[in-house]
Amino acid sequence: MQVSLKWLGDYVDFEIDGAELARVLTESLTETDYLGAPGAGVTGVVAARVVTSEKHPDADALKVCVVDWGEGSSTVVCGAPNVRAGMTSVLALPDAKLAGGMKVSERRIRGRLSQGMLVSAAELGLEEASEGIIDLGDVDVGSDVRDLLGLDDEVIELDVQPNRPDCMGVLGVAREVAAALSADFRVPDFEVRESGSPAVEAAAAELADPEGCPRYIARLVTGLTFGPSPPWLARRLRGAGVRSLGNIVDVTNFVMLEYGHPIHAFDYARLPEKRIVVRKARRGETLTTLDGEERVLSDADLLICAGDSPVALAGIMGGGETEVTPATRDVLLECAWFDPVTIRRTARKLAMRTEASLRFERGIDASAMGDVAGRACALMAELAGGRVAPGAIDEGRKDRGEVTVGLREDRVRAMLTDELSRDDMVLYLDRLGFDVRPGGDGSLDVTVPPHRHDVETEADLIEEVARLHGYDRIEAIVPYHPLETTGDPARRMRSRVRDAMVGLGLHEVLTSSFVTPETAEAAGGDPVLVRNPVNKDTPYLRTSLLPGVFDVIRRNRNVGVRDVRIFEIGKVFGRSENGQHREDWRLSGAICGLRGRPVWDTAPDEIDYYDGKGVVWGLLEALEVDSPETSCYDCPFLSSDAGAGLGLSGRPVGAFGMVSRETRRLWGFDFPVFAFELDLDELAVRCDKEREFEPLPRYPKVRRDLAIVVPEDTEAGSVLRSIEDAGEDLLADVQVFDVYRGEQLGREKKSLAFALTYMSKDRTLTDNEVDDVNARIVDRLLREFGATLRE
Amino acid sequence: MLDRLREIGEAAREAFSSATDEKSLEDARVAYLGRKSELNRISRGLKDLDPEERRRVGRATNDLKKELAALCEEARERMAEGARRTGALDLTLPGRVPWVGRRHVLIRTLERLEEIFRTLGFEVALGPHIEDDFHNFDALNIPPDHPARDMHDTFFVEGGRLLRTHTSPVQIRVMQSRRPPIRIIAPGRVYRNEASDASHSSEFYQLEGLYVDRNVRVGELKGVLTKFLHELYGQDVGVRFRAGFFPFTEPSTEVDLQCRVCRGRGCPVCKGTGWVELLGAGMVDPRVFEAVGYDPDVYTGYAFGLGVDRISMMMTGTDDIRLFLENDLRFLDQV
Ligand SMILES: [Zn+2]
Repeated sequence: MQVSLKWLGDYVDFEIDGAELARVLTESLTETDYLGAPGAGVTGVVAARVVTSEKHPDADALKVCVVDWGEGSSTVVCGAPNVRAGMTSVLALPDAKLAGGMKVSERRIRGRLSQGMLVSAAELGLEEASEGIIDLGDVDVGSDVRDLLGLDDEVIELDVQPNRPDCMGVLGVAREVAAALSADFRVPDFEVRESGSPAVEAAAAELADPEGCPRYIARLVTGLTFGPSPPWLARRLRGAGVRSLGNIVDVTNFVMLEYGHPIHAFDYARLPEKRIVVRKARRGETLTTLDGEERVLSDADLLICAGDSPVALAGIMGGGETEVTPATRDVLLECAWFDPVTIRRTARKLAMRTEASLRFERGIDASAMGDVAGRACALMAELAGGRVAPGAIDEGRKDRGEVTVGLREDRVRAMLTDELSRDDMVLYLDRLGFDVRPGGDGSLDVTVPPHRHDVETEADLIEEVARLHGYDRIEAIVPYHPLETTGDPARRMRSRVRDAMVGLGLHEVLTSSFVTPETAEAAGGDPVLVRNPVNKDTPYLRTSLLPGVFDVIRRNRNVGVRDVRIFEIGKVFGRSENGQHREDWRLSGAICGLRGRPVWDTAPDEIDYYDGKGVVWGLLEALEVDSPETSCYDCPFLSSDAGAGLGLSGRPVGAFGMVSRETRRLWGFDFPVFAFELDLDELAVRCDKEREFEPLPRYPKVRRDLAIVVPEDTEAGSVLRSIEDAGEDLLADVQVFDVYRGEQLGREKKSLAFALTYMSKDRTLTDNEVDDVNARIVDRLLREFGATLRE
Repeated sequence: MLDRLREIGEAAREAFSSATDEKSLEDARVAYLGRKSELNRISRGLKDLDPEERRRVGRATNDLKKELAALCEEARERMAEGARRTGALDLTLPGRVPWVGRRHVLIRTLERLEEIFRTLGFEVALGPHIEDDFHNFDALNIPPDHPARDMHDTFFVEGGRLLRTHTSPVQIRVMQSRRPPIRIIAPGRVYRNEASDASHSSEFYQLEGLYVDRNVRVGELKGVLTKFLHELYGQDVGVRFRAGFFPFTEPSTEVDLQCRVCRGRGCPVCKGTGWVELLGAGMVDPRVFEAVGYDPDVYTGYAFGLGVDRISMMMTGTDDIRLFLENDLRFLDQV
């Protein structure tokens, strides 16, 4: 809601400037911007009459005009289409300054001297764009243009909250200004002079849908003459950001902005029947609104009809057929109350958020309807020379009933501050227009004024007291709260995972929850569909974090970052067996590029499977996971011969491996990528165990190395398991320390070398004991793997 | 005799400081500190002096000896240093730095916020991202077809569910699951169906707070939030509480922070007002308590919410919210 200070000044007296007023309203009501005065900085402009206007001899589109500006006359060249002899416009003299700092000087235009220029509203900063020069209408030559056009009239803009429909009108804002500044507030003063035959003889109204339209007032104004609005009206509208379109339309806009109640003017002569019917539309019924669009309606939409012909989409926009035009003589003025929900649904469905619908859907003060209609009639008669027919067509429920809310003084003090006295409360509420009477037991009976139907409960009243008292005046208390010690193990786990990943040199990323159908399909599962995606390309919720991670790799590669080592901790979405939505925490990550940072004496290779597996095993070590198991896997993004599933205590927790050829094709990767995805909820369960102290070893350890030659397809893991199994209690540790292939081993053979560490908890091992176990291990390997010992 | 000592001192200092190699240093040491040096001769002849003279010369000789010994040691170290520099080890060549990882900037901000609220006695609570209408709207006093729903452009999924538009539904879930006192913060991702630009994203992060107990007052809300902002931005930063509107709090307040760019004088960042909007807050609306079955005459409380992305932007000077989910590593390394 935009309004100028001078318009506010019509209803409330105040001394402060626009910036200060914006601050006051920001603190007491809602965020308010100070927009400044539109013509701030404009100088050297006067009202001037165009005496003669002749075609420029050397340019078809230009006119050469002689203008009289009171203290002299000048010749100016003008290109505006609307310039004509006899009109009064605004002349900018040489050295004048216009909006945006533009300077005017005397100069030749196509060979003719121009001593200044006739200006448009845009050139004065009054509107965005203008079609021609300003037509001031009937004003004296030499008048003060600054005042006439409101160049100095400062403007503020309020971010009106949905609970305050009253502040969608200047009167409502003025009430708030008066309350905040303790100033007097006055309502508009007008008189409706009626003449001729009563309105009820000229038209009738019928409310076929009393839910959608509980009350409808119509008034008739005849004998109007369409013409420009007087400067004061154009000025008021301009301050509110609305263009002047001629007197009759301007009056409807002015009254809407003043009271916050939209009204509509029908061209009486063009109403096919003089009987207004407010009813629901029939399915498929159409109406061409005054913006030229044909609207196809449903039975949820509310229509204003003349007889049976639709003439307006109730509360949203009028129809083109009955719109006011320069030829309009008689006007039927509608001032109605429409059901907010009905208006809101239709406006949303048809994407027609108009100034009218915005107000109706928030709810309007029904008690002022008579004034609103009267004010509009009085102004039309005054400005367009019409006659107001006596009385009004007024159908439907008249009174809404008073709302009285109890307010316990103790409750106010308990909530806000002990400093608040009963007098303070009464004062604040009174200033806002509430009627306060003492109730029983230290409470007040507060009658809510009709324009404040957002106030329904005691809490609402406490807010009114709080904001007028000022939040800044309430003392801040820092209470002492004992520390909470409860914690969520899964959340703690996520934090440990994050530490571990960062420690392993990976960057954390956060990617979108929305994915494309292609990636959703590639990830498998049963993705959840978003019915109204913001981006049509990504209508599904992710079932895996990996696509997002791959996107990050692609994005970084595209900008020249080659070594990408990233992880994400986030939610994936799916469905459980009973069809309910489910959400799971996942960890995903990927690495590509070089294995290590290049240094002056080393040129690291590109990463391979073992670098990635090292990251995953590093994580497990940091999480103190003892015996990870690898298995077959079902991760659709990984290669089937370079990837594996990860299990803990027999439960699958995720997968890791090189990204498959197909996945690389999808993302356009022509380089190796290692990726992993783990189920963090499962991991949390598996890792949430107490660690226990074990006495440190007291007896020496004995190391033996063992190298065997085995067929190429023998897995080191199987050999390790056999060694551990055969080594029994005395084998404390075994590591692979070399894998070798060479001609002397023969084709399809490789050598695996192991370092075995023997130790006992209760004695120093003898050589013989170690030799025995070692021999058992060798025997087993020779038998089981067809191995030979390598010397 | 003392004059002679001064002369010896000057010559010796010159010799030690100009020694450039082991040999010249050793020559200087022999000449001035050696057994046959003049200084040593003077020490040995001290016993022949009268007591007064002996004491004065003796002290001066000793002082000089100590000084020269230190100079000699210093020169030796200087040379060793030089040797290192010209040797096999170049201390200035880069070391072998392993890959260094980083937490995401939004996560770091969240952790910072959580840490502050933890010290104020709040614990963390989480909720689902796929929510129902009751928790996201109805229970928070945002009925269907209410214009306040315009503040929440909502994504809908099948089954009448929606993606939470704020972290406030966690308030409802926590209140439904236990009794006061309740003191929680609820951080997490939220979703709004609106086109992205430099200051809007359809996915962003919020942090919600809720405190419910007997006799909770507006002053405590002010106290806790002021303390929080002082912890985050420093004790001297200005904080302003002004009128606001949220359907689930009554009274409601917007909390502004003094603009850190202009320190309150007014600049383009704060649109000339000197203040930047940072938090929304208020006392829990009794209608919300009724929705979860609490007696509003027994319990009162406050709630607050803030945008984690916005705070991260202010802290790092980032001017485009979309950068956070784009994950350009060059950006993540900057902020
Ligand atoms: Zn500033």
